[in-house]
Amino acid sequence: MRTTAIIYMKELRSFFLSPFAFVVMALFTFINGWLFISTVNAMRVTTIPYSLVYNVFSSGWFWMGFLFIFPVITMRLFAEEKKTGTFEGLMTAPVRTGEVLIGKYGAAVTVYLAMLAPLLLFFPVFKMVTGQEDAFHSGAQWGSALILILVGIFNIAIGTLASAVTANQLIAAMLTFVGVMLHYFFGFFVGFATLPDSKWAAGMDYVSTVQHVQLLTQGLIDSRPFVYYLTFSALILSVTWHVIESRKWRI
Amino acid sequence: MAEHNHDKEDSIFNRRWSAVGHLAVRIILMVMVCIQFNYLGCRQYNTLDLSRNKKFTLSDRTSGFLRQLRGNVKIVSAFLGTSDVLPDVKGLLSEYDRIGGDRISTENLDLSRSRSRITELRDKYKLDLNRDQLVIIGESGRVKMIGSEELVSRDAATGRILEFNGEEKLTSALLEVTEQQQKKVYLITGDRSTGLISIANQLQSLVNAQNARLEQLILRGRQTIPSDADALVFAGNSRDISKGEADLVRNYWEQRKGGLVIFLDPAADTPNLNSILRENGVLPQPDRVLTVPTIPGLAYKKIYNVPVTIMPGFGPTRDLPILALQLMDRTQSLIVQNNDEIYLSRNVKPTPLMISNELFWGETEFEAEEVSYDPDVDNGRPDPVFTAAAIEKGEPGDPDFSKGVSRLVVAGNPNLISPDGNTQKTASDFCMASINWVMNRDQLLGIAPKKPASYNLFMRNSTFGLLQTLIIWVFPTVLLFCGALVWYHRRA
Repeated sequence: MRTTAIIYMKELRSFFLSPFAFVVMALFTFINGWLFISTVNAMRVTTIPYSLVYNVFSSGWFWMGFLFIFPVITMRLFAEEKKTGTFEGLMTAPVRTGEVLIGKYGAAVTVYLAMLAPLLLFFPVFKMVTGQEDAFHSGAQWGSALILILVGIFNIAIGTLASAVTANQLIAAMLTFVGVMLHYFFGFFVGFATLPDSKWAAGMDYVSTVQHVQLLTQGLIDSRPFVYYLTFSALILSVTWHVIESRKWRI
Repeated sequence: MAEHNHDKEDSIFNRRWSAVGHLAVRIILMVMVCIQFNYLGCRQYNTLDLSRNKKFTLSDRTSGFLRQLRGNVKIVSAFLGTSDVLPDVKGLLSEYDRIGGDRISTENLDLSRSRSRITELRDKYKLDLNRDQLVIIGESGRVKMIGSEELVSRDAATGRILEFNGEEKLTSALLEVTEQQQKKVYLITGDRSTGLISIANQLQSLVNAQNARLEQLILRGRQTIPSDADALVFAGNSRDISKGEADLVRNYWEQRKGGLVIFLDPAADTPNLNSILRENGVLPQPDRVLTVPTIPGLAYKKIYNVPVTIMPGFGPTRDLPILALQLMDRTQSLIVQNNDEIYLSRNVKPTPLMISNELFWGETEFEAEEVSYDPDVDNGRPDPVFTAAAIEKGEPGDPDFSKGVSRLVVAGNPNLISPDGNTQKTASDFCMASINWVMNRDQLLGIAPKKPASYNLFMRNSTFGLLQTLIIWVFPTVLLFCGALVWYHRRA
């Protein structure tokens, strides 16, 4: 546990002691702030049946920007260690693979939450400035925060695996981006007429981030997305563990 | 030596392949466990509805009905992906699927894509699946179809969805495909001169939507009420029934536990019909509910259109929210003797259902030029003025009505179902709840339509400008400032 905490702190320090991290966070906040303000502006001129929370987080524009942050957060995790040659030292030190994995993964999740925090703060700030209590309700806020955290946990697991399979940060980033994009687009396959049979469509619905977002941002907290994201994150992390361990018998 | 090296290489090679094999097996097992978890998670899931207006939550009535559903039912949603009703339908079906468990199976089809499945269903059940609709298929092969526009009420001007009635329609359809026999409601005709056709037409569509059939019935000359009658409706009859007909109705209501819905016409003299009510604790008064505004400068005028509140908590209105309604034209008040020991000892429970606005009273001298409240002869003030009531009558000594119950709803206004066709939504909801209640179909009571939320942000330009500055500029600037601080410290 202590080893995990040390690795976790080291990863956090290496991220937050770099001005680059803050530039990325500022850029991410700026882009989403722009989207948020555009949505507010659109809702000023027309009456629509969905809340501000739903409109912001169900927007394709939001997800296009959002999915870019996972490669940025995870590409360094293992790939950089391999590139700089510190990975061998780390793996031959008296630490377990699981401790390294959890420490690094936990740090990546924490960084993700830190990046997400300003975005979630937009809504209380909106209420404070405008005094509009009816723009959205707390259920939608909770739901959107939960789905963003779940999707983040899952996507960071994909990024961790991608970083573990290659020594090149750029390849790791591209693998992560392709992985999270593909997963996100699963939700659209139903609509693209590629899976006409309803059983497949039901399966696609189950893994569809788009569907999850639409329901949770309206305030319907469903146990199924929790099971899906948490179990598949655990599965991907287990595969990552095996990938890291495989270096012992591949040499 | 070379042979030794060759053996060593073979051994490494074998060890590697063995490890790869082990790894593959472990990953396959993990994937299987993960899929199993998700399968179970799909079968046994739960939801917590934190949405505004609880839009994803089914009423207690529907939940109770689904848990006691007899037989298996399949619900097929066949919609175009672009339908604006689809999100609400999907949410609704998900809840029916979850609560109905194994008895309910749902299937979502896209009309533009699932052609093979649509053809299969068309051939099997002889369905016409060319428009957005829900298809409910009972175990016995009984099929009910609900068009998408039946599920919603729209704003005539903008086409925007005002109300989503999906739950009411779907539960009713489920009842239809699982109920042994369709219920029958008889509208007592022959005595009302105006608006009967319009009232019958409106009642017909309301009753059909609840899986019942409406037929007209003339009491004169009959020896008995038809054996298939589940409820009789007196919709403002302008002439009284005879004593013999009253006995017929009384016998039907008390002995056969039939249902009665009576909308009284205050202009009609109906002592025989009223006697059935009087015997059971509801006394129609020879008055008119009215008020006279006492605003200086405003012309003296008697106001007969009565704003009333539907009282929730009992009978047909048990699960309805508090609803307001305006009774048009002439209304008479009802005295409801709900605390009278005489009725309670006979196991009769009269209960008020509608209460008028406190400015109104029951005026007995309503034909006079000028009226004012007279406590000696008029009704109300400070007592409440009731305009509708429900009566339940069971066997003596059976307070829980375990041996059956006779149910009756009475309103002191004949135009709840408006003869000119402009029936208020609340009034028709009340009528249907009453008819369902007197037919002992409690599972169809209190399924209120869901009103979709609408959002429009009104704010001044200055407020919007401040928000814009904070969100777009201040937040990122603070983060950049933190980055600059980090950079400065590390440089130092």
